[in-house]
Amino acid sequence: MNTRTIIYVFLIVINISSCAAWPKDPVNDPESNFEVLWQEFSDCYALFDVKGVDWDQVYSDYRPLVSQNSTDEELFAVFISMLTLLNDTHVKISSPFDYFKSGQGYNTDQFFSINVVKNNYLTNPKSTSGDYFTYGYLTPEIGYIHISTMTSGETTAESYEKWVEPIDSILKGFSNTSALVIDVRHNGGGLPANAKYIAGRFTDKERIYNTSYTKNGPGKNDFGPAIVNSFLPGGTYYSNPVVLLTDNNTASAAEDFTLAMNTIPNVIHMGSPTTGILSLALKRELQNGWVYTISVQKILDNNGVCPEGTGILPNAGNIIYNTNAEIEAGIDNQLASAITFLES
Amino acid sequence: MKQKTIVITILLILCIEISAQQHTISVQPGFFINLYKDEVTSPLNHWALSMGVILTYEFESDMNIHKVDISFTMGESRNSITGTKYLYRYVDPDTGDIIEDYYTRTKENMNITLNYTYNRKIFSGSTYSIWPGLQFCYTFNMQFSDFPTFNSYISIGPSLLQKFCFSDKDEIKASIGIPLLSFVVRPPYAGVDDQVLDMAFSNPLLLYTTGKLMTVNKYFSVNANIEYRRKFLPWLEGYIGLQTKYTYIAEPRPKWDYTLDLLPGINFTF
Repeated sequence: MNTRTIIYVFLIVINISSCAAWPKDPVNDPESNFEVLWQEFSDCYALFDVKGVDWDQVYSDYRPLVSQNSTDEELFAVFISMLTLLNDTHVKISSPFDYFKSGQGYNTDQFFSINVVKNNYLTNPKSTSGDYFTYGYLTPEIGYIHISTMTSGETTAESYEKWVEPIDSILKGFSNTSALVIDVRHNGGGLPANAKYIAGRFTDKERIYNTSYTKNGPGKNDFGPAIVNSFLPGGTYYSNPVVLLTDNNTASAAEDFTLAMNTIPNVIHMGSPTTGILSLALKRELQNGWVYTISVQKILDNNGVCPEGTGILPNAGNIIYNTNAEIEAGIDNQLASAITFLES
Repeated sequence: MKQKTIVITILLILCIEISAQQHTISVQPGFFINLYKDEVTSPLNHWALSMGVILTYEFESDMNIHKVDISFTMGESRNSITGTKYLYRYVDPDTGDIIEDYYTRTKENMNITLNYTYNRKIFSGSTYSIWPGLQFCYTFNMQFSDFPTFNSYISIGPSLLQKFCFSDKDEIKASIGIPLLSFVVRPPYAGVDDQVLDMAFSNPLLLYTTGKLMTVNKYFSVNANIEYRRKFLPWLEGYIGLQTKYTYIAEPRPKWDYTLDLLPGINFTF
C-alpha cells in the first residue's frame, strides 16, 4: 500500500459519508410552502381538540386554493384564512411584506391606563428602572404594584431576569399595609420563571399551579408525559390579603402568574378574563423565508381545565370591565372595585 | 507462579515501550465547515463556517498510540433565508397606536468535541503499519436561535489507523472510526418543553437524564482523519490535516450533520 492508495481510500470515505442520503431543502414554490406549513402544524400544534379544528379538513378546504402560480400575497392570504381558524394569539406568521397574528391579539376594547392609576389613585407613585414595577399606596392601608411585563428580553444565566429582584424591597416597603393590589393588566407575558419568582413572594409553601403536555410526535394525541409546574416560596413573604387584577390583555406568562396566584388562599382574582394563550410558542421557518410560530403545549389548570382561548376567569362575581369613557374620565372601575373589596 | 509471569511480562513490555515512547502536543487552529439539517428546528439546511482550534495530546510507543483531542468552534449559522427582514406589528400600550417594525434573525452554532482513541499495532512493514483500536467520542452542540437547542452524543466504537512513513522526516496518518453504541441527548420533538427548560436553568447536567442509548440504526456516524507530518527539528513537526465526520440521528426527528475541518498546525514532541 502506498501514499496514493491511502489518499484514495480516504477520499472515498469522505465521499460516501458526505453523499449518503443528504437531504435537500424543500422546493421553494407556493404549493410546497403550503405543504410544509400545514404538515408542521399537523405534527406539532397541540390544541386542535381544544380549538375544535379538524386540521385534515382544513387541508381539504385550503389546499385547492394554492397553485404553482399563486403570488406571495395570495399564499399569505390563504395562510391567514386557515390560521385564523385556530384563534390562537400565539400563532403568528411574518414575511417581509405582511404580518399576521391569529386570535384576537391585543384587545383595543380593554381599557386600562397606568397613567390614570398613577395620577388618580396612587400616593407618591414610583417605578423601577424600565417601568417593570410601578407601585405606591392606594390608601394608607392598601399598597399597589403594577407589573408591566414578564420579560425584559435580557439574557441571564439565572432562571429569572434581574429586573424581578426589586420586588423584595418593594414588598418590604409594604410591610405596614394590610392588603395589596397586584395588577397584571396589559401584561403581555414573557418568561414563566419571572412569573414564578414574583408569585413565590406570596406563598408559604411550594404550590402546583399547572400541568403541561408537550407534543412529542406527529400523531394528534402524541404528547409527552405530564410536567407538573410549581412555584416555591422565596424572598420577602407577603401574607396579607391580595387582589390580583387582570384584563383581556393579560397574556402568556402573565397567565402563568395568574394561575400561580390563584392557588394562594388569600388571593382574590378580580378584573376581566385573561387572553388565554399559555402554551410555549416556538418559531419555525419556511423555505420562502417566512417565519411562523406554533403552540406546542396543552396546559391544564389545577381543575383539569385548559384555559386556551377562554382565558382565566376571575372569581365569580368579580368580573368587572372598564369602559373607554371611564378611563378617559380618569376612572379605573376595576381598581376602584378592588379597593372597595379590600376595605370591606 | 503463572500470574507472576504475566505481570513480569507486562512490565517488560511496558519498559520497552517507555524507552521508545514519544509524547506529542499539537495546537491546530483551523477552518471548520459544518453543514447540518435538524428537523427539530427547521426544514432547511444550515451551514456554519468558523475558525476554531483543536488541542491534541498523543502518546506513542512501539505498539500503542493513545490520542486525546479537544476542539471548540463557534460561528454564525446560515441558511438559504438568512438575512430576511421580517415585518411585525404591535400596539403601543400607552397610545393604542399600531406600530410596524422589521427584524432579522440570527443563529449561532457551537460545537465542543472530546475524543480519545487507543490504537495497537498489529501489522508493520518497512514503511507501512496498521493499528486497529477503540474510539470514545463526546460531542456537545448548541444551536442558538429563537430558542436554544442542546445536543450531546457520547459514543464508543472501533477505529483503524494506518501510518505511512515515506522518509525519516515525512509521515502520513489516516484513520477512520465508526461508533457502534451511543448515548444521545437531543431536544424534544417539538424543540423545547417545560422539563428541558427547568433543567437548563436549574442544572444543565440534568439534561443528560433525557438521553437514550442508540445503536447504528438510529445513530450512525463515521469519522475520518488524514494528516501529513514533517519533522523540522527533533522536537518540532509541521502538520496539515483534514478531518471529516458525518452523523445521522433518527430521533426525535432526523438530524444530519457533516463537518470538514482543515487543520494546519505544529506539533511539539518530547
